[in-house]
Amino acid sequence: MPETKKQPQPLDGIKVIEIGNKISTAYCSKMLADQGAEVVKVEDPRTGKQDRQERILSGEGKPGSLFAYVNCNKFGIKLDVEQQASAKIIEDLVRQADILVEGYTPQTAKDMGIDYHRLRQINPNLIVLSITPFGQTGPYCEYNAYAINISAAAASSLCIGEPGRTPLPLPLSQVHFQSAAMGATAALGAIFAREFTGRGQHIDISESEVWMTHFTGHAVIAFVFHNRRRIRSGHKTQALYPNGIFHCKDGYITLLAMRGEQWKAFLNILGEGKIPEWYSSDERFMKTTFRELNLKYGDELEVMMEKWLTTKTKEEIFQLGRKNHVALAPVKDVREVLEDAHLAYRKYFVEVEDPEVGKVKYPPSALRFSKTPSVIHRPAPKLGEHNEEIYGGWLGYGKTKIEELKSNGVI
Amino acid sequence: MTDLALEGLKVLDFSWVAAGPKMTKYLADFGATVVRLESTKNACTIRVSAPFKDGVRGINRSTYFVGMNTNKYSMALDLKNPKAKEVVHKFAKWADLCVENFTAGKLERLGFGYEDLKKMKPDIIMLRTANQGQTGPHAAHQGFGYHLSGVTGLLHFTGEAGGDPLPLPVAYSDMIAPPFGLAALFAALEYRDRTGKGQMIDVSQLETTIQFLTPGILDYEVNHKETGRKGNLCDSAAPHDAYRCLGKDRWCAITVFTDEQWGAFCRVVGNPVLEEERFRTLLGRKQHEEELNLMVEAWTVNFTAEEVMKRLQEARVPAGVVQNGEDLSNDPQLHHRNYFWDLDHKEIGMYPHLGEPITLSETPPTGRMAAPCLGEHTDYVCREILGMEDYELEGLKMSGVFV
Repeated sequence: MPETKKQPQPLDGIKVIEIGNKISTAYCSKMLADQGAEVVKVEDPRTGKQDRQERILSGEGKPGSLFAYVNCNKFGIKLDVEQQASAKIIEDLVRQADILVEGYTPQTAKDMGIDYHRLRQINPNLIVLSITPFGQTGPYCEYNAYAINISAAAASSLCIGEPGRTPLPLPLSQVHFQSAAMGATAALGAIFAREFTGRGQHIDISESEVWMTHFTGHAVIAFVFHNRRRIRSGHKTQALYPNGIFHCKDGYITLLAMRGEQWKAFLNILGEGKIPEWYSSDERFMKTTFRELNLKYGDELEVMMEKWLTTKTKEEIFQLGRKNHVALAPVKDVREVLEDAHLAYRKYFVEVEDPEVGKVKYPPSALRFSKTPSVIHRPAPKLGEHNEEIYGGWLGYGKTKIEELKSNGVI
Repeated sequence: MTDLALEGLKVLDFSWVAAGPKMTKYLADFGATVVRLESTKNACTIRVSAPFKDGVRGINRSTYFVGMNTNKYSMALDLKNPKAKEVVHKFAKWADLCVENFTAGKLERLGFGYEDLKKMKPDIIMLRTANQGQTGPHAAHQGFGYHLSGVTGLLHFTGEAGGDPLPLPVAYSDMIAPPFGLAALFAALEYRDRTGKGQMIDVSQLETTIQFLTPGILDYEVNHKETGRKGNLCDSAAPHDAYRCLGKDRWCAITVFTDEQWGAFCRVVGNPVLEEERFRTLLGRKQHEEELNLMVEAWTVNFTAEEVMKRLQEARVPAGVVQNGEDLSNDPQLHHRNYFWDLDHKEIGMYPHLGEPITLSETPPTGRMAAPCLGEHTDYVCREILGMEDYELEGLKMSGVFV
């Protein structure tokens, strides 16, 4: 992909250093890069190549496609932080930077010489953003955890799954993406605050807290106020009915009917214009309140509902729902999302050419600014691709010095 | 008292239900002045939805509402009253930002779209987050986060391998929009401060949620494969699952990605069979995963989930107890970090409020006020924020606009 000329962007002039090999740190600084910040990704010359292909940073199958996505619009340099000579280089980088993003537990960050206490002495205006599973303080601060561990600890998993079977996480590392987005927000909030406090600060983001603040507040509220413990209940929700995911002809649909009149409207869809015979002729159903239907006859009703639903496609059911004011929606697979007419109208997916991955459709920055639209103007950097540009340009190191650092394996 | 990060930032809040209020809650908790415009004539769905404190229905008693509306002022204002325009005009002149999350087109019909507000305040920044954005064939669809989980494809990935898709206990997309929206607001403020220009930001909840599904999308595009549902399984780790522990419905999620973690795991468990050659590499462990998982569970069932987590974490093996709401409210890590704020709500009383997951060392968020009762601050806002004189306030009151 050729580099395209940059349009004015909201974060022009903001300089960001990213150290780490996690989705949370990479996606966080990508969000800043998408709005115009100059982001320099620091990679380890020894393990960088492996980090790009392994574990959570690779898509499955062809390695590296997820890496390419979460690192577009960035510069990349090599730096071996374990070598002594790197301490001075980190100082030089940090003096230039507005924000440093890292994802190591506190002791490791300290060992690497990138802890806030040290960095603030070098640049008091610097904002250091640390994204860790359990935060910078407390008994779990040195604990390591991945997406399913955090989803579990933050009380999501217990509520997803079939009753009595294994609790399930949210898929595709959702926790790390969420934490990344909160990180970008917090970093910008701190930039805003810096304009009147006149100083930088340390931002401590606990991934498990991000998750519970957004998704499990209800579980705490249910316990604290109502002494209830929520558990998983398979494909339908416990309390309200008939809310759930049901089979249809070509897949699944979701149904949400929160009020009695919506249930009635849904029954009218099932009966194609009237309450179906099997329902209206059954006194048990007719005499039971909307709220009790699920508890008493949920399974029986579902069989009858699906008898009709499985004769109709997602799209047919969706359109009937629209017409009759019942909230019915399809469960789409990836192909259907990629082909979605509404997203196509809004020109959502953008096709880019990545040197490693080839031609691929990316979700772009989801933020649509009327005056400063965001663009993907640069593919993910190759390992150390911008060594000259950053060490020479940003830091003003001479050719000899750069060569020497290279030959010593520092950069 | 320490400084607040967003002190002085003025926010006009038309938002309701979840995505918008969650966004403005962050702004308020970090110090912005947020005025929520509400009306008893069309009260926020969350205000009038169960669960209510003590099971007693009431517009100020929703326990979910109090969770999402700390530190905000509530101003009663009927947007359909002809006098509302005059009041909104004053707000627009005062505000830096305006946040709304109605179905696309609704504010325009009321006369408070971006173009209307821009006329009142040329450099206003307006953030709009509708289910599917402000434009396109589905923009006018009413919708719920619950559905977007399906429409985005997220549910396609949620569930056991070979099983049906399973619903999430939350309106997932409602909580993706807030961080994106906030990042956009700060970026727009930076831009305004440099150029003097405001703008409108369109955050589609459909589009923000799809961002987080990129691993699955890339798998389809690059590897031509629908990843689908895989439960707890992960191609690049084993063990990688939630395992049954001592007690009723108690579990611990354990993940082993690296050889180092595997070595540590074997030392903690102390079962010589695990040290056999067939389990030594990740490839081997994936091949014999079913057998492996049975052996892991044969160990975990002997201990409480907390004990399993502690033993493994101390050996640097990632693990997390599958917690419930009660566990969270007693969690030692959360209490150490003062995650819960003790707040006193006018009708609900004292309660532990879930604070913010972001700590800023110099300008931390604080819980200064519990969620407001509807219209609690109408007088205060009119006098102190909009600078109305008594006669003006009385005149507007007579018109019935403050309901």
